[in-house]
Amino acid sequence: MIKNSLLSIKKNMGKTLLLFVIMFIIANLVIAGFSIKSASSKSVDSIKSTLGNEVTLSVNFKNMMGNRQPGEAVNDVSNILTTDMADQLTDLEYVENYNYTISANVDTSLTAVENESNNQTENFRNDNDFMQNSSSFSLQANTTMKYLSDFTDENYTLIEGRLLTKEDNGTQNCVIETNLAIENDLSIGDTFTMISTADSSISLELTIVGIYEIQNTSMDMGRMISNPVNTIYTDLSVGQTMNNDKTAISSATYYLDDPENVDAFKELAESESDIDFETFSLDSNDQLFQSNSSSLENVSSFATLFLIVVIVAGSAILCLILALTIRNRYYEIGVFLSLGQTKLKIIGQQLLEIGLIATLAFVLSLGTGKLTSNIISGMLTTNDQEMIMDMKDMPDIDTNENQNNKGFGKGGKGFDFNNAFQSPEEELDVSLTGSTIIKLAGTTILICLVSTLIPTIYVLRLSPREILTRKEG
Amino acid sequence: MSKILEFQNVLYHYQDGKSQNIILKEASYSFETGKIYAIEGSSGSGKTTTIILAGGLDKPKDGKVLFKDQDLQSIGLSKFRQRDVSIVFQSYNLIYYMNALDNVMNAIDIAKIKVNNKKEYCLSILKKLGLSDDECTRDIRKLSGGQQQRVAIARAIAKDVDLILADEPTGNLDEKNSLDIIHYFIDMAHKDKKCVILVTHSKELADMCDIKLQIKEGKLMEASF
Repeated sequence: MIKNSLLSIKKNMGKTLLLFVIMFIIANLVIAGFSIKSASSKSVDSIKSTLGNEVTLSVNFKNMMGNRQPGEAVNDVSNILTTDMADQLTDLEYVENYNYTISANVDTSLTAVENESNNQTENFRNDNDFMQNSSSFSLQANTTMKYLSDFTDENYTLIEGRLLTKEDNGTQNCVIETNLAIENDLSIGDTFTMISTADSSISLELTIVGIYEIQNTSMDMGRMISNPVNTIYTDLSVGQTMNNDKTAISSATYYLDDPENVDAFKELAESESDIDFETFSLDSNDQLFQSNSSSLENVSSFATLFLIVVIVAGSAILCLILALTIRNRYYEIGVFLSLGQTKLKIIGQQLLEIGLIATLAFVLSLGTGKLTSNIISGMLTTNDQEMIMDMKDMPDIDTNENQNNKGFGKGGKGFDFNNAFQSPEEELDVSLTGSTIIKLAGTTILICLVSTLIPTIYVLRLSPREILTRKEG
Repeated sequence: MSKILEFQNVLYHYQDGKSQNIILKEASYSFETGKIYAIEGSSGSGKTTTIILAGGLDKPKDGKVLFKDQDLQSIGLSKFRQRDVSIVFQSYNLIYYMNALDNVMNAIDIAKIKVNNKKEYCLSILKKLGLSDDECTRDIRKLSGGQQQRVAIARAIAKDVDLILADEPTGNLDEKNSLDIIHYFIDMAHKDKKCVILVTHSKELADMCDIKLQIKEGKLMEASF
């Protein structure tokens, strides 16, 4: 049977080449479909794990401004978020971790680092009276630095010492930026004094336990006020001391087990706590997750549809070609039957022939499939990026969370749309996996079976006399 | 001499539009080993149909075809064709992508005949029928009609079965080659004790056979010399 198949392939080189080209194209498109589908699934998982599982509790400034009477000062209606409020949500279902943040301006015994954008910052300050007394230093007091997006996203990297954890609770340890350390000739273990801007009688002596370096930063509003190099990270207790308030915090961020649980968590928070959600809001990154995941799901749906079309159309085209060439095979099948060859072996030979061609096409497509996948995924993501760019231009995308967080600096994650929209799906990882190769092999076998069996069985239902008579006719 | 093939009240007809074209009706005849038969008759008389039914290429509409007293359908038509009969077709029916040697060897493979040095065995048959080494390995489509006919005959002979059927086996051969082939078939019948059934238009060749058969009104009957 193998010898016969090889002889047939060799003698029918034209048909063999035609089948090979079609199988090769189909295999490439199938690889592209499976790879894109797999890549979009991976990207959705990636987004889930990095983008949308945070929910931030903070003052709802939008409502606060809306409820303000004309002429009433903002401070008169402001409310303070406390640790007691935030604690009510830490033990709720879905919450895996949390971080409380206090953002404040402080004075220190150090010399601040000035950068090239200082003039721009100064001009900005002159135009905004309420900012004119701002200090050069900003304090970021956290329960833990473990989940801070700047560090997890590697915009900031620790170069010496360690980050602050929950074990630093109540200590006066701090982490500073390397340029600030160089400017003031500081190293791990050195100390300096931090003074409250609200009450200059309040001061603390901080010990440096870690030095970080800024790799990337974006010029959002919070960062323009103070040079990010001059940001000092401390434990939450230091922030409370500086604010002379042992309970107030700027925001609380909860890290959930799954971004799909964001809505469930919000509902649970409203029912299980006595927090006034008119005054305070729970904001999440889920609009980013939704927009990214839904566009990726569109890509995935497209890939599925694409696969179905390729498989059906590919099988149909192969069926047609094999049906058109079956006239020659009528003769051959009739002869084999007249010699006593079993129908099973005749089908086996036909399958082996197409299988050998498909195997060659399959193996070669493993080399070119990634290129095809990249081209198609590139076309898909380009369209998607254009859609996202359009979204970025829309004023409505500027959500509560953005407004809140801009006021507080870097308390939460998600306000930095420049970073957020440089999303994980910017470039789909369309690498060939073992699973994709197995799926391709399965699909190839399926296409071979369908396209071979239909015309062959159509002929084999006839008796040898009928087949040979037709040929002769 | 022993009975090898028997037609028992065989009925066979084609559907020709709305009408039924009866070819064989209550046809009965017994064929024996060691004899060569010639079936004569005009076109459309049922000669080829007789070969088709005797070769298990189709089954009768009614009646039975027995091989060694066993109904072909109970043997299994495919199995019968594989191991018990060789057929030489008028249009050769060679596999076009195989050369002469491969065509013969392929028939042996399908019949699952075990021979020592299969290639030499097949080459010797082809050479006995007048094909050269070069012609044995040449593209089958590049052989003449006569050469292809001899390959088809070689394929039938190589199977070494007791029943050989041939539909116009010398139709494309010149007189000398035709005679050679007929003598070859006669030797197979007389020396190797095989049953050879030929369909031929040639009265001369038919006269060389042991028994001449005619199909009259759908019945197989012996013709006088």
